[in-house]
Amino acid sequence: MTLFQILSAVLSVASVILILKFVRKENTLNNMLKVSALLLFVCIFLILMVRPYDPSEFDAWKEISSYTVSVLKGRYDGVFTSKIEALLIVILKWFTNILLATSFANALRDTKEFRLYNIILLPIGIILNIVFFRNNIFSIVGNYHSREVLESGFFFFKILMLAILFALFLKKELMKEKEERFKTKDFVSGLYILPLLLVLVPPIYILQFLFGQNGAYSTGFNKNHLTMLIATVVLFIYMLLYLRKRTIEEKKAFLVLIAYASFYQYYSRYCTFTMPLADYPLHICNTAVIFMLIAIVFNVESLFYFTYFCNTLGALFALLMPNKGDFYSSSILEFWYNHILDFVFPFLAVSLGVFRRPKFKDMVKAIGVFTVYVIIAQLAGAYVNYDIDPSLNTTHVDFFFLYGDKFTSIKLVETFAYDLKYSINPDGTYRFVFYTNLFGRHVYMYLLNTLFIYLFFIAFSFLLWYIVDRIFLTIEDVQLTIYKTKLKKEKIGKTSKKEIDEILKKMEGKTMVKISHFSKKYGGSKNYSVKDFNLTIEDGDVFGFIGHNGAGKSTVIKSLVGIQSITEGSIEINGYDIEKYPLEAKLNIGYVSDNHAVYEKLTGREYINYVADLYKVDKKTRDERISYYTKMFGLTDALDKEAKGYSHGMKQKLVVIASLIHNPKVWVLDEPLTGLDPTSSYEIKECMREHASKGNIVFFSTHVIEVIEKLCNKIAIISHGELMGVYKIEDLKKEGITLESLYLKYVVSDENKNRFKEEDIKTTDAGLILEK
Amino acid sequence: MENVKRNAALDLKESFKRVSILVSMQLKNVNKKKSLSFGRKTVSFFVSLVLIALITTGLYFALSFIVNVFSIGFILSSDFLMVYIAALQLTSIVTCTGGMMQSLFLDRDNVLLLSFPCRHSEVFTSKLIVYYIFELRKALFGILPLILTIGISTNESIYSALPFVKLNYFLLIPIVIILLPLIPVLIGSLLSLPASFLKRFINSSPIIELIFILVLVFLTYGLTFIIVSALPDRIAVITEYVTFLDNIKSLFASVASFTLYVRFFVHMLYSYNILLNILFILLIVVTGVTLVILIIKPFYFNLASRSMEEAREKDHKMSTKTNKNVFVSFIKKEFLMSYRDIGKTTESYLLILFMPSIMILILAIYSRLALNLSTGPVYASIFAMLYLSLLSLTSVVDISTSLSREGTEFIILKTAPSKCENVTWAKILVSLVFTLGVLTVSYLMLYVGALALNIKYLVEYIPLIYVVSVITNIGLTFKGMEVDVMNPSLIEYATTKSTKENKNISKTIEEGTLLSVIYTTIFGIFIFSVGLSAFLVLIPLSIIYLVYRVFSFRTKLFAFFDDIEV
Repeated sequence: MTLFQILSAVLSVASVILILKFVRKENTLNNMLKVSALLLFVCIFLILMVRPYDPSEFDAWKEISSYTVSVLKGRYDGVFTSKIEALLIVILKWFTNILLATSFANALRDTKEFRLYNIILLPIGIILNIVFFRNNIFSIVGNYHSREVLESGFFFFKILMLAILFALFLKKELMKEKEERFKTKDFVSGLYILPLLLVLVPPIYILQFLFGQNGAYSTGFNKNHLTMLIATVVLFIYMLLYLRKRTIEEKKAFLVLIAYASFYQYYSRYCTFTMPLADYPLHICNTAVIFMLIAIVFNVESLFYFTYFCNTLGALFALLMPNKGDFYSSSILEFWYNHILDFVFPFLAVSLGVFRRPKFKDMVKAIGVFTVYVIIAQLAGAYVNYDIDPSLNTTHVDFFFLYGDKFTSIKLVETFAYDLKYSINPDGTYRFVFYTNLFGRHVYMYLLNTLFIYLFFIAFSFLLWYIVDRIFLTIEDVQLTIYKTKLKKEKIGKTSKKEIDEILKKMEGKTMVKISHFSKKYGGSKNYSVKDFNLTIEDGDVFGFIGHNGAGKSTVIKSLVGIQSITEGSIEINGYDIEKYPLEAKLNIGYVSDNHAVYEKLTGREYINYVADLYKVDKKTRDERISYYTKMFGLTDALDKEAKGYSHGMKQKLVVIASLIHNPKVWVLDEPLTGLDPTSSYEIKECMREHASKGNIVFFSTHVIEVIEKLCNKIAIISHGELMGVYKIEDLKKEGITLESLYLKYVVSDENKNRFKEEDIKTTDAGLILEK
Repeated sequence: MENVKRNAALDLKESFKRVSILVSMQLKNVNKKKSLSFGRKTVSFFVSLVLIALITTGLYFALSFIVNVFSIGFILSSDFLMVYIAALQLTSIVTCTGGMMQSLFLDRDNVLLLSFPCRHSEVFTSKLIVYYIFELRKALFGILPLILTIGISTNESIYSALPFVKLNYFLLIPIVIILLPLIPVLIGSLLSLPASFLKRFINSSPIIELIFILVLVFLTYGLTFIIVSALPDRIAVITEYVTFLDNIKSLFASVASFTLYVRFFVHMLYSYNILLNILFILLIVVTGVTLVILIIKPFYFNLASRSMEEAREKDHKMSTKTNKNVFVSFIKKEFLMSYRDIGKTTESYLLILFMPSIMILILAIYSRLALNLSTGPVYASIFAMLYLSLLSLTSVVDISTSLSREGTEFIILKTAPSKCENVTWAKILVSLVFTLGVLTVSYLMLYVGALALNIKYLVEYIPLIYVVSVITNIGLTFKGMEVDVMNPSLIEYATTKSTKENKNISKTIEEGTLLSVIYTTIFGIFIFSVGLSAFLVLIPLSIIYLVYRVFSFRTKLFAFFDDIEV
């Protein structure tokens, strides 16, 4: 055993004991988790970064990822003595990658699926890594002993951080209530995500290691290319279906995992610290691996929306026009990981509701970031490619395709793209090439070409945004429709003839309106407009309904006649629930609205006939009634003229006639006398009396107290959405209480009562109240 | 006598004050701006000056670039200036006629303005001044920059014997800017009277309105043939560029000779008979003002107040039929409402009605352009597909506000004991009758026109594009209705009686545009290889779209109709 191996074992155990013993507070625990996750991340990053750029220094590393190695097919001639040993170490690396990913994600966002890995499997992983410490180091450094100490140090630190995280996870588990602790079903749910974890964080050389060279490229929509495109869609759908019903925290945890996987897979292929500028990850999709992680860990919206608008488009182009290269090679696999995860991550985050759907201002910010990126890519490209003749079709580096010939190879635009870069002036100089000095180098830039690519990219970003937004809207639309359809099917009552006959039998001879515990909320409001309203109206009643402005009178009336929905409670018209048996209930109702709206292009007669058709009134009856009511209201001459020429009073009378055309048992009027001249008011009041005298119900709201006193036999008072009381007019008169004083008592607020005379605000005998 | 003179002067002063208050009130109402302090007004004035200077500078550089690159020096000539100003004046006369007719005789603010303690003539004058101010603004930003740019850029005079005197040119500009906008206002006022009578006559009966619109459509159609026959057989813009430019130059010169009073202004600027031209201009202005005072002013109050009185409507035939079927009642009502408001109904189909004229003109020009013989017609077909589908599919917008236009009358449907969601089917059916009828007539006109003018490739494709348009339009009709069921703006319509702000319209147009682009893309991809067989893809695609839309509409109607509240 080496010193580092011993230290790993000892310090791991010590950390576990110390943490379990001394960490007591939840806040401390959570903070330690976050710090440990960060340290672990830094450790992994450094491990990846400090590898020398030149792979020839690392024979083992080269061999483990070289084309000549294949464990499952044919010969193996890597650094290990046998295939089995090599296979075991690679599997251990794979397993450790999973533990690293889940530890990192779970430290930042708690989720039960990761418990299996953090509580059960993590100690196993730590122990195995300690046992196979030397084998791991050997697989990295091979025979280059000069690097052994450094790599051992890093590896030791990684094991120590894992041990600390394990201790913290265990302590957190122990601090929970018994019911919340790890159970068997958590074990099972952890296994469900194993396929995903295996796919997300394998060693980047795994395919080549197992199967050697494939020989086939993934290009031109061949089998390999299509496979990866299908894999993109499948991954997205799988993650969406799996996560859609989770909590936000759990969704974020998985997104952290994906972002981590993308970052890890990219940087396990590229060691940046020692790379020349030419190989820096300045392609737009490479920036995504950094931005995605920062966006999801630190919840940075601006970076997230940059990935949403810009990185996804770059990824989409890359997915449709992939790199060439052996399909199993680590470079191609890294290409696919980078671009698939770049593409899936932002849309998944929005689909799951972790980030909101972007607005125009987010696009503007993203364009701002993109502009800065293009400038950096242009300058970096100019600096690196300084020594190449502008006319030559070669380049050291092609950040964001500003120097290469990607566009000149596309058939539709090849001539145009060529002219943008290589047009020559009559004097032989390049028309669109700009020369300048940059940090001591004489560099050149294809500025017009850059501008074209920049604008082209922005235009396509808008297009992609539009398409994706439409897809989101369509999905939301479909979900809402399914939900509403389901709700409606549950609401509708089955109106069999037998049921209707039974109801009619019970109600024989009786006319009744029964409002039970009616409450109404509008839209997304938290407050009730009407709360727990109860009222019964019987046949022959002329029922007045009064209250201050905004008390809820119209709300009650509109729900009673079926114009608005009911939030709670029920309303029955002659035994028919207005929501369950709307057609039957409405047959009994005639309604006069408060705004006397009529179709102005129709004549009065046409309007009445239209309403009569809706209420299925036969010709003889309707003609009789039209004749009777038009004479009563003096509308005979105007009946065959278009309603747009009617005065306000004439329109009101027309609506009254239309509401009576089917002789409704329940006649509801909402402020019917507003704005009418005395004659018209008198006529409508007489009509109301007459209608009630036939054993029907007349229920109306008004502000005119004198009308109620003369016309009604009962009244209800509503104030601020609540029923204050129901009274018989006769009884009030006997007690000498005026309706005005009753109204003021209930409606006027306490602070305003001092404005009114004492004798006008009398208390009433509780016995007078019929209902509350 | 002294007192009479003093009173008259005082009265004039008071009158002037009243007119300025009326003008300022009407301007604030239109601009919706808060009243500005003197300081802010001064700042606003200087900002406008700076803006004009900036526009002029920009125009100068733009024109210099265009003139150099395209060698079109004639756009700095007096002929071009005359034609440009005349074109703007023509549009101003048209808008002023319509605007003055509305403002003087039909506007609701007359109710308010005539009730103020002002003379009717003062109200009348204030309205004219308000319109003059609008025209002045247009002149300041639309005409002045060009006049300044030409003055700076050119040294060319009207006649070669006459020198171009820049000093005179710039000194006389204020006369142009102050007096030129006055003329459309005066002409518009004069024309507004017969225009309002004509409008009344047309609106008196739906049949007359319909005939008027159809006459306009057929006149435009006929005019298109005349224009097309006047086009040269070959328009080789690139290869015969110089000849092309010469022809344009001659065209401007010949049109300039018909620019009437505009010639006086431009000749004056170019120092040709300055005093005589100024005299003519003043004569025109004075004549205009006199005619307006003598002819229009006396009619103002009568006509303005007449529109406010209860209209004496004629009796409609008494209908005694009843409908046992509620759906038939719905259809009958929809037809009646559409028929009695035929102007509004037809308005929404104007684009389709004028489509044949537009298409024939564009494609006739295109077929005369010197193009590659093999690919030219193909590209022309693609353009035809794009234009036709855009025009056909973005015109079905009326249906997307048909439920909203129920307004508060929707209450009847909510309270009626019938399956009132069937009203949507009735609206769709009525809309389809109109839409398909108009589409058929339009495409027929287009087909006949294409045959007559021998635009071969168009003749082949028209019937097939028609089939695709019809099927898609049916689908779009369902989409429009669906959008309205999901987002009815009943109260908004009841309040404003307008559907201008209704977002359902843009949603339907958006879908129509998207479908046009998709169809054109598919057409473009297939046309090169399989020609007409591209429609073997497009027609089934449009059927799938229709089926989807019907299914979607039925589902949404079931789920959402009952939730609509007033």
